[in-house]
Amino acid sequence: MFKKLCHILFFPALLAILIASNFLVDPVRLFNNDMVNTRNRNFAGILSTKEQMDVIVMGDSESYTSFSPLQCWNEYGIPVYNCGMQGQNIIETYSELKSLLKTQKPKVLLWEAYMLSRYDKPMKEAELVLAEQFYQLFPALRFHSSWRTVFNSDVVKAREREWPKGFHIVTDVLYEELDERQEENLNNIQLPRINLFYLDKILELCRKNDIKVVFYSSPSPVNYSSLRVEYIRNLAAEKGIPYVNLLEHMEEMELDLLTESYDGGDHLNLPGAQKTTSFLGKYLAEECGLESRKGDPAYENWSQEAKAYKKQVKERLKEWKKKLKRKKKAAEAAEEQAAPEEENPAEPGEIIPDENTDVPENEEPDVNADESDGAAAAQDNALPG
Amino acid sequence: MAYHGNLYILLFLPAAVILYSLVPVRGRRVILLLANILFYISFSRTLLAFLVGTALFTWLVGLVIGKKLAAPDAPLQGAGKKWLILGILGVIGTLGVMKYTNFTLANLNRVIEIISGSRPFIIRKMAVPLGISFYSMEAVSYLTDVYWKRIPAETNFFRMLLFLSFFPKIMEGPISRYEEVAPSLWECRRATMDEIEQGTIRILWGLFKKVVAADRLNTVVKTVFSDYQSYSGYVVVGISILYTIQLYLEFSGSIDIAIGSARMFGVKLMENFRQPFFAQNASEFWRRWHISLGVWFKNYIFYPITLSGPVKKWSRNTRKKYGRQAAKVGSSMMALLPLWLCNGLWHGPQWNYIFYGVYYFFFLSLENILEPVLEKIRKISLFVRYPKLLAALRIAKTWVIIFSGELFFRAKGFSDGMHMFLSIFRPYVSPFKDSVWTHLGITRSDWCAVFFVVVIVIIVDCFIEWKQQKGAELPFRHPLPRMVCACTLFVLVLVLGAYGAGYLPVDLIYAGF
Repeated sequence: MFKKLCHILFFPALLAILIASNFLVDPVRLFNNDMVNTRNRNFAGILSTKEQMDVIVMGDSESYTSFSPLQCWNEYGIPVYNCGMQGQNIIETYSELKSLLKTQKPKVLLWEAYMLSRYDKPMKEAELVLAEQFYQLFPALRFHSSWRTVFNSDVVKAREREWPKGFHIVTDVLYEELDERQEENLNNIQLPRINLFYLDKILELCRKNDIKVVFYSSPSPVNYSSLRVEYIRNLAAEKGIPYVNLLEHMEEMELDLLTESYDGGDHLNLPGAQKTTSFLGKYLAEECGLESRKGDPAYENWSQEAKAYKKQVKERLKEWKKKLKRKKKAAEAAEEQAAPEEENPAEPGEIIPDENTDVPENEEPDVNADESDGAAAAQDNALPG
Repeated sequence: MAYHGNLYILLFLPAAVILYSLVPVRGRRVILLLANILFYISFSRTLLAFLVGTALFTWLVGLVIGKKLAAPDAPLQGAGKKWLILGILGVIGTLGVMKYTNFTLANLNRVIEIISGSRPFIIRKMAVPLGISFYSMEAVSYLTDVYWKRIPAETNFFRMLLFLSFFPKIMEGPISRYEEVAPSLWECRRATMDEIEQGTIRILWGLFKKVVAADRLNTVVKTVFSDYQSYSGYVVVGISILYTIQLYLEFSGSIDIAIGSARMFGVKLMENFRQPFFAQNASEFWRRWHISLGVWFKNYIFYPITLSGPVKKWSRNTRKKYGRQAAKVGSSMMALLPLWLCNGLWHGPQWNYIFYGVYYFFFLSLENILEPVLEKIRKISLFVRYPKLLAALRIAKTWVIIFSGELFFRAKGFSDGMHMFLSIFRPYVSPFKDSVWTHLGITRSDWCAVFFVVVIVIIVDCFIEWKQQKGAELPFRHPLPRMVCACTLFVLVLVLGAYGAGYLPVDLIYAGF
């Protein structure tokens, strides 16, 4: 009899473990105790946010390096949360949006469009779809690796400093500009069927919840060929979605990717993101009709955090300036070494024979370390396969 | 879909088992065959033709051999031999073309380039059918067993197809003999609850090894091997050991999932590992590691060669002139050389795999040659009094052979492997302030997870070895400890597994062979 009972309870016991995990592993509690790894951090962050957000930012690393929510609050009084996720796939976007809508009622979804056509092999996509269904049912599975943060406490404590409201502060500077993306094959850019399916699901979900969707492209010539921009523009027009292409406004923003990107134009650092945030914040205030909520007592804490953020930014900008100075010095030194000395300057019309053509080439940074392609290791050393 | 992936574990396998269990016997055969086909086409629709084609060819040739053997005027020996040769050439030929064409052409190009300066052959990318290395060997094993009259020729094509395409073993084995598996497959018996629970535990144990530890080690191994010039000394020694551990955890983990999955259909597959790190010499290691491959080579290459007429004749003459030991060593070397060349080549069309085969040929032959010397060492009084000391030394010596061999196995090519091996003797100067091991792609927490799994696996393997049980069967007779074990493994896999956000899925190593 007892044996039979054990047989009957065998699989229900495993299911009970999954159900119990929902109660034991609470993403809000994890987030508040700094126990969420980086890639899921913003997801847990929005679920833990008590204040109502007017704007949610979604996308991959291009999104969380181009929009600072607390700066937007300071300048325009608009509460925003940056829910970007490294190498985000559209299936994850849908999943994240669906989860946050349980507690949030945003008015605008500001969506960085580079990740729209991100797609893996069919089997891996199918695996992701299935995994996301299970993560919706059993959120503990999404946050299962929180135990790792116990071992990396120093790294974890630094994260709040690095990720205020989902924005990734970077003060590094490469002081080199990568080549612009060459014209791509339309096959790389076109959304495959599954992505179109999920795009429509997301748009439908936004329609039901009265959320205005706005596509934007971060100012990253490394990622955006003119063909890709054109495709996104057409897609946005077809779906009736406004599209803000920051690449067209680089001059207006006075953006200099040489100094305001930390990887040669792929992602923005802090000063670069300040400019794009100001631009997008103005767009949200003027074009989306979002009013300032400064003074609203519901956002008292948010306001305090934004004030502290302002001070933090001042310190971090000093860091950036020091790094920039060092990079400039190194670049100048490298230039001096490379340029041969002119002993006998030529007279006009005189032909100078080639004496020294052995000039070292500039080393290009590794474009395969591009996070927006989802190929590089995450900041907390998660595993590239 | 990979055995350790969501689709297989959460959807495909449960659906297949449930449907299989609900329908009557005839329906179960259809369900199983459909499951096999669905599993295969999840990788490639077009390459399914090769699997079906091989099954059809093998079945037809088997029938012909059977008819020749059963003919009233059939000679005592040699009836159907031509058909056996045709069958083997057909199956191995297909394997050779699909897997080794590019390797052959690339090497011919190199040779011709030295002579004439040109590379006449164009190397095109070729898709290799999933599991071809495994099902081809099963097909050859079947034809040979029919020829040797061990089994009758199969008259039902669908039994053959069901056997060759059985999804738990198609990707990574174990390489099964027809008479051991086909009858139970066709019988389509409903698995008992005990078998389903045992199968579940086996799958969880496999996932525990693969998804918690092996996938983490993959990052470290990849980091070092892809930039091997930056490392030397203790790092290269360490990475050889870590790669061997990764390979063992992953391969044995996948086999656990295969065996567990098959159990859920009432089918018992053979064990492929038997605590290999307890081996006291290279020969014993290969009786404990990838057992089904070793058994196949022993039955279909080693014994046929050593028992063949010319080798027996040579052995007789050598015994008369030079003694028994020389005859034994010589005849076994004559069989071991082609065996190990085939073993190396089986793993893949690369020179480092061929070197791997020759490497083990060397050590196995050396063991045979030194057998009289080793016998004398065993009789030294110290070792007679402390046999465990001798066993420990022999195990340590075997580990050195294994870890060095795996270094070559993993390297991108023979020259890379040799470079890494020689760099062991060059001290490594770390550019990092802290340990180099924390700069190879995984964090301290990941190392803790790996260490935890390795300790558990060592304890379990020691327990099983101590109990002298064959294989890694977990001995829970009562369902209660079985349930506790399953729940524990389930929690460990869920919490510690390297899956989800921040982890990229890691493909199975042996599925690529």
